[in-house]
Amino acid sequence: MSNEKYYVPHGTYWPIIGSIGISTLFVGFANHMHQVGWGWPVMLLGFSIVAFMLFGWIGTVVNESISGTYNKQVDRSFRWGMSWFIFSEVMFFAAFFGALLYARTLSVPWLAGADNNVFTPELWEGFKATWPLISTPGEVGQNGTMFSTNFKLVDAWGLPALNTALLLSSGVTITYAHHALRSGHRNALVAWMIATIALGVLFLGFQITEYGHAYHDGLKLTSGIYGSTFYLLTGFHGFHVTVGVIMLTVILYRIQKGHFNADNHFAFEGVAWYWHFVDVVWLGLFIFVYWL
Amino acid sequence: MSSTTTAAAHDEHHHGPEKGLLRWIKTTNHKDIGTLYLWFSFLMLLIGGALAMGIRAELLQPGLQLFEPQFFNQLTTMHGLIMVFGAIMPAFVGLANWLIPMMVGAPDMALPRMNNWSFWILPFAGAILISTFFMEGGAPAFGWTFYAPLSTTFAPDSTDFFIFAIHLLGFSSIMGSINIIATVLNMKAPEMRLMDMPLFVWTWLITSFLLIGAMPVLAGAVTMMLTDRNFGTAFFDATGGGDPVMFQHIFWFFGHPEVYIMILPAFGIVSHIIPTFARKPLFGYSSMVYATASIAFLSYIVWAHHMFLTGMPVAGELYFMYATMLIAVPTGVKVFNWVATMWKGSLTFETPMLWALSFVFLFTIGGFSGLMLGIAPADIQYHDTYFVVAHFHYVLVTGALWGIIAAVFYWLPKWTGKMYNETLGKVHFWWSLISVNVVFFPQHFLGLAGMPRRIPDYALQFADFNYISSIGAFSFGLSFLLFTYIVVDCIRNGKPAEARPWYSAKGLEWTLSSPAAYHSFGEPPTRAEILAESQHS
Amino acid sequence: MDFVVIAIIIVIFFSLGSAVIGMLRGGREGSDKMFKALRVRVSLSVFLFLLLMFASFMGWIEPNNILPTQ
Repeated sequence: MSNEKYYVPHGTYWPIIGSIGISTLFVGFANHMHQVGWGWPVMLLGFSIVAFMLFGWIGTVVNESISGTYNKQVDRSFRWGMSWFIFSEVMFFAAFFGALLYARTLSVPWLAGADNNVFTPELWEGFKATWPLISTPGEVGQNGTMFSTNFKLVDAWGLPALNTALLLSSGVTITYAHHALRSGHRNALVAWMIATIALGVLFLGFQITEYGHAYHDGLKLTSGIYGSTFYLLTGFHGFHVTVGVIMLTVILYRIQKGHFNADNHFAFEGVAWYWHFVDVVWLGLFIFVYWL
Repeated sequence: MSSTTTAAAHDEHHHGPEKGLLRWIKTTNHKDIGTLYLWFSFLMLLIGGALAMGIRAELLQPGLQLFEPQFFNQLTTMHGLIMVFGAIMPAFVGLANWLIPMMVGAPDMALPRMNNWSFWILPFAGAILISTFFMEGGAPAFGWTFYAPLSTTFAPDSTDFFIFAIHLLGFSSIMGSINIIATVLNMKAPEMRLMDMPLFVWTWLITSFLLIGAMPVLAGAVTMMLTDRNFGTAFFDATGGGDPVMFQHIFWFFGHPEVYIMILPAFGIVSHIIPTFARKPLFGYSSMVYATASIAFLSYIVWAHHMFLTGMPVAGELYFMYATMLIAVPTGVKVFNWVATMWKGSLTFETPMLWALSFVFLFTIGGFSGLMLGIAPADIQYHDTYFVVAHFHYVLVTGALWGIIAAVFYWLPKWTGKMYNETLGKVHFWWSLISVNVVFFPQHFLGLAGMPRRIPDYALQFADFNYISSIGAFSFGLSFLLFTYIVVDCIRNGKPAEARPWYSAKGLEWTLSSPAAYHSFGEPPTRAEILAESQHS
Repeated sequence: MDFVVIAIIIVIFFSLGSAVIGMLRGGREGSDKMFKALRVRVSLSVFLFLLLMFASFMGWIEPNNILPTQ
């Protein structure tokens, strides 16, 4: 059967390596949380296997791509894959934003007796619905609580605004990089890419500093629903920025190697879109966590 | 289309599969991966079924007979999780792998390496999930819906392993559905238009959108569970300002699309089988497509009908009740289309047709009991009773599982190149049909009389129906031994099958030889071939 | 003011989505569509940030302070 129209790759070990790695990571993590001594090293081992798999697998694909193995159809399959992967990421963040909005507009007022919950004030006598939640129902109630809210609020005009400015500028610089790539200006492309990565790293640095301040001022994961949503939203966002910075660095390396041209640069487009997505999520965070 | 394939890839086409175990580990072939999925899901079906046998053995008579209540709860929880995430969903992905490339005239799936990964995560996830039985404190025991705070504050340590198993299963499903979308939309023959696609392809395409929309939300839910359990967050804890009901909202935002994920592909399968054995084109092809899409859309906006008793505002109850009723409309369109397809057809009743016909009948019963449950005031009576158990087993066993078994008999000749034993197939069908109704039909009465679900013991007035139900369950369980025998016998000793073993079957897969070649279509089929095999002409 | 902010966010999301469609289409034409959509989204985001600063300066909007939510 001569097949000129389609491309089907030959067998591969990367998936099974990935499965072993990710299971090792999770089993190690679960044991670590249960205070089992070997949990931590096993988790690291799993993480290294996953990293090894990702670099190996993506490296294989990159090599096949630059040796001209792929046709337009394969290229389109990658585009479909990336788009729907991104959609799944949107839905993942939607779950956490949903939790934030639910807590603010429904469950916290309900705890103070809003709507038809007329009896709840008797359960939590003296509880007042505020956002950010400065005292949890458990604290004002009789039974005590593990959630303590003795924290100072993060000022929106401090590091958060600076970080927003940084990340937005990185959105601007990557747009310039995109433009440079499309019009074939290599040097400008490299410069804008380096700027983007630098802004991303700077963002992460400030984010860690802000966590330090917030933690010092008493805002912890255990500070009730405000701390929970604050840390999970910003934490998962920070994780995505980290992944984005790594991907941008890989793209920069590939630009140096001359893998892209003005008409053929899907990997760049995918990563650029991802970066824009991370940027928009931050804007949403900035507005919904600090402002509205 | 530019045409550059490397020598390495080219060799593969000539040589076919590798030898030995490595073939299955390294494979990027849609048929190999489909086979792996199907056997894996069958193994999970047997494990989940064994747990169900344990449940029914305990419920055979009132009083605590065999198990401690805590272990009984582990059985019901793990039965549900294994059947939903281990048996039904992977079986459908396996069928998609086998059939979609053949149905759209493609050589393989669009992203074959990722296809391999989406399968090979499953055995690890399944192993982690099942290993919780052997951990201190036992397996999760909070029901497959894992409501907080049962699953957070009051759950055993093994819950964290369960959470990670769910994460892994979610990765697998998301990758599988991304692959199916890319295959359908990018790999279908250039001459095939969207409204030429067979219904199994359509239903799976729509199911994939449901999966990609719903699974990440589940991942979010279990992640919040994880941090609530281990890092002191307060998402589902009212003392910290959170809300256990919020867990139910997030869970069912996933959970309701999930039930359609498990039934839409079965709709597609039945829409292939009924026209074949009625020897008529499918009635209302395009209305089938639109009905499937409407069901999928509606499935995202009705989730809280699972939560009528949580104290929602009345306006919410009304909205979710009416929206739920609305789903009956597109579903009714489908049922009437199947019936109209058979109208004045020259029907014959080979095994796949028997399964498909009983699917239509029994799934409709499950659908009607679902409507009863969707009426908010009535649900106050039915909620968390055996009526609910009867309802979702009618849609999942005689719906989803029935569709899968029908598909196995219908396409087995194409997969193996051999025919199964028709007599044994019919015996197995009637055996299953009778016993499954003996199991689940009395559970309607038990539920209406007020027997709650998820308990190991019950009041004396429920004894007779429980006894009948358990006897039926043992019989239904045994029928799977015959099923295994029929399939293995077909693979080993079946008579060679023709390329088109069903005389009037339509679809591109029947233009391939039986068994189909390792890579399905080398050259995409032409417009004339596609039209000749289309379902609506 | 809140509604203006939310409306702009929605428009930003739409332009992101439109960029995906461009990426999906591929080729020069898709690339153009993607680039233009992303340019819209970046400009809007910067505008929104400046608007927030301005509004806050003018006192039309205040950061999340401890206020009863009802």
